[in-house]
Amino acid sequence: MHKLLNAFSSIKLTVVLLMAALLLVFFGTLDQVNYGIYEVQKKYFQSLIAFWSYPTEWPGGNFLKHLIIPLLSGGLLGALLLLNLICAHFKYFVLSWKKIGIALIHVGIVVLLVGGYLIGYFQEEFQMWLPEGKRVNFAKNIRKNELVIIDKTDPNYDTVWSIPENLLKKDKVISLPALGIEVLMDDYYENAVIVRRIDYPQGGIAKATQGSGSKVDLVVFPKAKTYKSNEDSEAAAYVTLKHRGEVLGTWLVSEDERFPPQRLDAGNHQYEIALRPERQYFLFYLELIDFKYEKYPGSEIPKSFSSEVRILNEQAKTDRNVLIYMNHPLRYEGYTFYQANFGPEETSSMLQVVKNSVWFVPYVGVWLTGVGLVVHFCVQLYVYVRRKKEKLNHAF
Amino acid sequence: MMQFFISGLVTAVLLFCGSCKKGDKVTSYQIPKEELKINVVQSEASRLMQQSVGRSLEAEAETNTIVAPNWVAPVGWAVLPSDALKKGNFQVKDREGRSVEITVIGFQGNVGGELANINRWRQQVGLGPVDADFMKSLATTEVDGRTAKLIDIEGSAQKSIYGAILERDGQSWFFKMMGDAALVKKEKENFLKFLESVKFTK
Repeated sequence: MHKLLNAFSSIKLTVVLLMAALLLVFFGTLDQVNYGIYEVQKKYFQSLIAFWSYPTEWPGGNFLKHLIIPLLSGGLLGALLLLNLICAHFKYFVLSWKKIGIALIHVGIVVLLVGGYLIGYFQEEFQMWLPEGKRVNFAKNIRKNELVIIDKTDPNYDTVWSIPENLLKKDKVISLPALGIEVLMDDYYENAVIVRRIDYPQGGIAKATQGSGSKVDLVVFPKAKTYKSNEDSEAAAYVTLKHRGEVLGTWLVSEDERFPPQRLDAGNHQYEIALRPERQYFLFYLELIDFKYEKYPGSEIPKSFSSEVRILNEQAKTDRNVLIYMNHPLRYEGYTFYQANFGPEETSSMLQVVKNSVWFVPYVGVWLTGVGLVVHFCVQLYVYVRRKKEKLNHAF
Repeated sequence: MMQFFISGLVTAVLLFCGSCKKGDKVTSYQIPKEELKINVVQSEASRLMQQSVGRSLEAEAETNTIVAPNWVAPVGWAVLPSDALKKGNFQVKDREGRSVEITVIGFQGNVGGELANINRWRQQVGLGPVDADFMKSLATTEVDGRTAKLIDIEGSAQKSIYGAILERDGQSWFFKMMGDAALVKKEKENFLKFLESVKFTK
């Protein structure tokens, strides 16, 4: 055990891990061309092990495509660095006022490393589209989908049952006991093109017996998931629904924006079914009063984008206007709304919404490290000056 | 010893937190009635959907990475315009007004599998589905050095399909001749010659 502690507290391990981090950043950056920043973050920095493979389109790709390099990913590297730091601290640290700065620096780095994990786990990002003059109370997570069954029978509110994307796997059966409904995932395609069979009579998968897929006679052509920044994958699925054991039929659902929610009758109840980007509902509404896109006079160079937004929160009795523009986000109810994009003819605005309940952790980490550095500098200066003084005293 | 145990525990907890997945449960919540259907872009899209669910594949054509092979079309096959999905499209008409259409379509993946596609073709000529055993009875031919399955479906109502399904480098290629039963029979030889001429670019 003592040997293990020695190994984990060794500075050699720190150097090796930092080299591995360099390699990770290098190969991650190479792969960013193919997978985009989000996927690369997930693959290289939020996992434990990553594999980089030689791209086929590179010179000699046909032969070298089997070249696969395993890498320690961010998740594992961070944990090992943390273990290394804590072990070293326990092994070498001697409690003394002279070392207080070092201790603070170490604690700061530990907080930064732990903060990386916490943010990876807690931070969520959404997009919120606001058309001028309309109010909206939800934002969409464009990275994840959900299959929803909505009960619209109550005149005052809708009840939504949301099945998260993690459960949307082929052949998976999901029970909704409250509705007496069972959902069987016949197929789930991460990306697909949906066309009318009449236009493309060859190929394609047609399984729908209910809803638009059956009425319009649609077929699905599965496609590889795209990672290009200017393209979106449009997921689709065939789902068979059962109500109290009785098969209701198979629906084709798609997040393709041309697919509005479809009607579903189960027992004496009417529902809607849809596959859509996961939604985050708020307890308040945002209404876009005006979106402004200013350019420098006589040119097409953008000068500023801004959204004048009205916040309507009945519970908190809030009704006020705010201006959201570049570097001036709105922080409200634990969410931060950034100006991100706008729609055609500048009549709608898109806000990037970030929910991060642990946003303060990196600030604390940096602050501790900074204070530690200053304290350490001051202590060392004091010690140096005192020694110098003592030397001078001895000299006379 | 104790210190090492504490360090290991902290690391293990972090690794566990990092690897656990969120959102593995069905959730249910109530929301106020929606004032706005979805968003501007979507309502425009919904209108398009109502007009025609069939998607314009022009955008698809630009992004479709499937590259059509080269071939030599037999004499008498009139070339019809190809599009995003149809990489090749031909028509044969005879003097009696009978016609067949030949199409070449390629996709990434196995698009449901051979059996599902054969059954879909059978459905198109008014026949019921077959089971997996039927696949064993299929003849094969060679297309650019790879084995393709030959499918001969004599349908009801004088309509037949003669086609080949080729799975190649993760792509599925459908060569299909469909139309008047007698003319399909007559064009089989040309169709096989056409298959022989197919060469994929490397």
